[in-house]
Order: sequence, then structure tokens, then C-alpha cells
Amino acid sequence: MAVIIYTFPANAVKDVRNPPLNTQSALGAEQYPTCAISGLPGVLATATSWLVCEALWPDRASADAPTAEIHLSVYADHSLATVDDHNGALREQGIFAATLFAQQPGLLTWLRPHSAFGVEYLGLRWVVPRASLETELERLAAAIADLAGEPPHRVA
Amino acid sequence: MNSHTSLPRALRRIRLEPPALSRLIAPARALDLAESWEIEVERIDELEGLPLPRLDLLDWLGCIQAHPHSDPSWSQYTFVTLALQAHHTFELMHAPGKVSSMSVRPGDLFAFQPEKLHWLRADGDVGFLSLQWAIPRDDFREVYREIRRGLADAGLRSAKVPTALSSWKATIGEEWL
Repeated sequence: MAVIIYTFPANAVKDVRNPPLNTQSALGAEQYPTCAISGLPGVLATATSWLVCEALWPDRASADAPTAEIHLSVYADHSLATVDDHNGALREQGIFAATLFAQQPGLLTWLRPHSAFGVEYLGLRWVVPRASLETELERLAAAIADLAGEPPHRVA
Repeated sequence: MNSHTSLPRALRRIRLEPPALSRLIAPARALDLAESWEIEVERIDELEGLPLPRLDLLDWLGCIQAHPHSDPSWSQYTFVTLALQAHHTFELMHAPGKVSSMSVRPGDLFAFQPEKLHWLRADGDVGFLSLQWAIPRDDFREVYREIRRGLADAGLRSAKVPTALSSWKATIGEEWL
């Protein structure tokens, strides 16, 4: 895998209440609050933290990092970009509400807002062992499908 | 591994000293550019009386920040950027997945090739305002020398800054001279 993205109907996150508000963060500084996660429905209550940000600037995790991240967007109008080290190919995928996504650590990657009018990204984030990233992603996709009442579309 | 010479030529940095910098007065219309979400560019007005060489190639350029982008329509030019107002990090992907990184503060002057993917991240609440020469690449050596000579009169000094290389990022240091 390089990047895997599933989209769910927006009602998959309709019961995500009391998300943290991004009021005081500095421009570009991402936040990982953990408040109110335990009260979320179903598998959402198992998230490691929220991710609140305007953008994630280009960065790359070590390819042999012991952990990897899985994200479920709650409120977003962004694109996720990754660059292939070997041929320089840049892939960009839209990230909107109720999009579940993960990528193999080690690629140069970033998340950018589409416009000045909706810069806030809010989502849930799971930190999982690198070795079980794909298994965990499939497990989460199935559990979120139960919440949504229908299966997701795999778009990448 | 930590040799200065392994840096891409494009990201050598030069710094204009504060007394010289203080003679570059930005008009209100230029200061407005630094509050723009998107990169905004305006031609220099010769009436602004900037004591700089090659005003014919010079624009005001400002933005709050810039997400990764390239400028393919400028691929026959090299940009030389002089930051007047900045508390930012400029990064450029010089090879697939390989990034050069540089802090940018007032007075910094650097050159880069605009068709490469690049971005400008705000490290504070200050908007970015710069003067930018777009130099036709065929004439780069000659014009760049002309600009350097003109800037030398305005107090330009070359800066030697520490460089840290990781497997994917070359970081040009923060040190003030």
C-alpha cells in the first residue's frame, strides 16, 4: 500500500458530538486533544486522539517507524498529497467528511485546505503498530460501515 | 555528510544587514499583500524610489503562507527573493521526496527555480512580504552578478550558515550573523 482511502456517507460521523473547537491554535500548529472521545459511538470511541489543524505541512515519517496513523475526517475540505520517492509522481486525493485514510510511513506527504473559506480540519486519529496498519484499517472500515449502515467506497 | 557543498546551489542564503534593510520602505499597497491568503504579486512602481538594482525585473510578492505548488509558467526564469517581512520556513523539493529547508527572516535573499515544488510555512503571525526578481535563466549569471553588485552598495553580506542533513531534508540553519 502507499495510500488507502475509503469514503463513507456523511451520516457515519453525524453522531460525532462535542468535537474540540480550534479557536486558539497558532496558524499551522496541529493539535491532538483527547477530550470527549470515550463518549463517541461504537468504534469511534477507540480513537487515540482528535486531529485539529488547518494543514499538515510536507513531512515524512521514518519508513521503519514502529507506528502508523489512521485518520477519519469529521469536518474537512482538504486534499492529501503524497510523493513517490522513485519517480516523483505526486498523487492528491480529496478528503471530505467521513473519509477514512491511511498511508504507509516514509512518503513525503501533506494535507492542505482547498480554500481560505474552510480551512479547519477536524478528524479522529488512531495510532497503530506499523506491522498491523492494513489489518487495523480494514477492521476500522468494517466497524464504521456498521455505524453508517452501508459499506464504504474504496477510492484509492 | 554534513558538507556545505552538498547543498543544492539554489538554496544558498545571503542576508542584507539591518541598516541597509531599513532603507527599503514598503508602501501600503505592498504591505497589504502580506495579509493575502493566496500569493499576490504587484509590479514595482519606480516612483517608490527603491535603492535596488534591476527594478525592471522586480515585483512585490506577499502572502500569509503558501501551500505546496509549482509555477510552470515561470520555468524559464529563476526567482531571487529578498524578504522584507518574514517569520517563515521556505522549503523546496529538489528531487523526488528530497527537501531543502530554510528559515526566512527579514533581509534574507535566496534564489530558487520556480518550477520545482515549493512552499512557505508561517512560523508566527507575521505575513510574508518580499521583493522578487524574475531573472531569465539564459541571462542568470550576468543579471545575478549585476544584482549582487547593486546590493553590495546597500550593505549585502554573504552569510555562512550551518547545515543539517537528514536522509530527506537539508536544513539551512537559523543562525544570525
